[in-house]
Amino acid sequence: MFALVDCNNFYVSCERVFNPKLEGKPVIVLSNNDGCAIARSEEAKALGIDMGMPTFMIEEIIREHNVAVFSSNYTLYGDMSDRVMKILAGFTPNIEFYSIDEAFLDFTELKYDDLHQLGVKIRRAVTQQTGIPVTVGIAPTKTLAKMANRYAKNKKKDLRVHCLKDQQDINEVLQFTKVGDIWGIGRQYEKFLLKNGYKSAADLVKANDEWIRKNMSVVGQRMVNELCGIPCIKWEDEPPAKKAICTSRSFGHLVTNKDHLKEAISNYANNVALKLRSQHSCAKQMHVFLQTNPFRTEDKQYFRSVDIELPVATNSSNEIIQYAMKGLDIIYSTGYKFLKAGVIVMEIIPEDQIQKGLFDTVDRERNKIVMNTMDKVNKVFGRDVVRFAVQGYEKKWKLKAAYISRRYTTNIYELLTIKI
Amino acid sequence: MFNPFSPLSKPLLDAFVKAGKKYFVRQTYNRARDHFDQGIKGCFIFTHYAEIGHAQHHYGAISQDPNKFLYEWDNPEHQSKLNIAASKPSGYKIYATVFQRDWEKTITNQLKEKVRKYIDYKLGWKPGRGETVAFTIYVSYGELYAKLKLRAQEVRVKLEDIENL
Repeated sequence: MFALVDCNNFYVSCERVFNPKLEGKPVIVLSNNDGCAIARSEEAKALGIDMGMPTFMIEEIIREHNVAVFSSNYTLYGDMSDRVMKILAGFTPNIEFYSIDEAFLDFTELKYDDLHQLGVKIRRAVTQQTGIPVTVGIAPTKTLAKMANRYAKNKKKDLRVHCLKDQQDINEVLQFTKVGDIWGIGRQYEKFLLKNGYKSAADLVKANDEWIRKNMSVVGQRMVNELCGIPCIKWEDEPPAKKAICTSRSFGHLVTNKDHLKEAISNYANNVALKLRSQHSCAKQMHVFLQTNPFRTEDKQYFRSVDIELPVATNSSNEIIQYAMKGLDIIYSTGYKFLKAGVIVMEIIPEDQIQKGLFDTVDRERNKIVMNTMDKVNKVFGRDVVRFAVQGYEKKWKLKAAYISRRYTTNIYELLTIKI
Repeated sequence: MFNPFSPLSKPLLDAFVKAGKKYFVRQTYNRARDHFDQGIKGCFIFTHYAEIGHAQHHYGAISQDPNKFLYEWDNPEHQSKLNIAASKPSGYKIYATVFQRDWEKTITNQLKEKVRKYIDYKLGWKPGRGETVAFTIYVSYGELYAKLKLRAQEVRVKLEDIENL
């Protein structure tokens, strides 16, 4: 049996842990640059604030209903997520971290008699130790666990735990789940299935195998098998290594100055290099891009990108920054107000499988030692404590985050204070 | 100016509605303007959307346009105005953001020359022998854009910037 544990309105819940006054009030968390709503409390959902709604479209609701608004604070959410995952790992050694607020637990090899009770225990432990409310769905497959979780959110609002013990429980959930809500069914498949008369998961289970394979490929067949209680989705102990890594951001305000762009792009390049090193890989190709704001149609528009082939695959920040700067020199043009820039690395290979160059003059061993030392220092003393000069300190291009909360759990100067 | 779009017509409007595109954003369309034609009171272009959110995004992006309007087909008053717009009212040139059939054939030598000039002077690209710069046109928020690609580089700019060189 598998469990899917999902934190309820995770970002909002993180804010509420340190600000209990927000309980029972509408709360939303905004995306990068305070662009749109990406997390909503139940009260905010009831006011009609949809997922992804741009901030300018909900300003009136915010004012009228006194909605508490927060900029996203990923440092806080990342740390709270780690705490939740550590508690979950205490229930089984087989855990798959599916996203920042979701994890699958595999109980197949463990002898738990009462799985429903176990679900209640998990929920209680996480809420007690972190303050984050979670919902638990338990079922014979990952897809059914997802559906059980959704069922618990909708039908068991007090308990927030649902276990599919027998076929009757499974049938009930299949009946309840619309085809569009099945894990793995996107908008196009939803339209296609509805057109063919499949309204709920229960309808899909009855579909002819051949028809499914023909119209939805083997992936669709796997999904239907999962709905029938046959586990078909691979268990991922570790997330698969990425094939491309991207760091791109919209600036907090429009940037025209090339030095500011240099600062931003070198920071993005360093970030990408750091991600490469953390998964022990190197990249052979880099893509650098720059663009104006397409929503400001009154402005002159310009998007330009360049692909750069690296002579030898690398994960060293200094090299990646150096090539990113070359890329910027190629694509930069004066007279434009830039909104966004980014660095993407591609052709990623394991760091022990690099094809070295005959005429390569870079001292790679030395670079490796420098990067290792830099990463260790930054891990202990904080991100970017040691940095390249080009990364600068001004960060005039920094993301807009007008409503950001404190980093209560990771910064000694931002701890929660209470009055006695 | 280069104008590859189709005029808005009743069959086109019906086709949009049939396909579920029930939101229309109207904006000024200078590409249709003929400065020698004194009888023209206005030139507009209509962009069709299936989702109100996308239409609102477009509407928000043209905040400076005094002629902007967001029509909803299900609103009877808007529906009647859309039907009038599709009936080719005299004194107005109204287009839809749908490329005409064989629009590529309408690219003039003058525009081709401007593109060459842009590649040469503005981008500084020097294609080698046998190499070609890929040139495509696309539309975003009722505005024509050019996409140019050579080897590892790609540039997207308003077509107007090339035309005005």
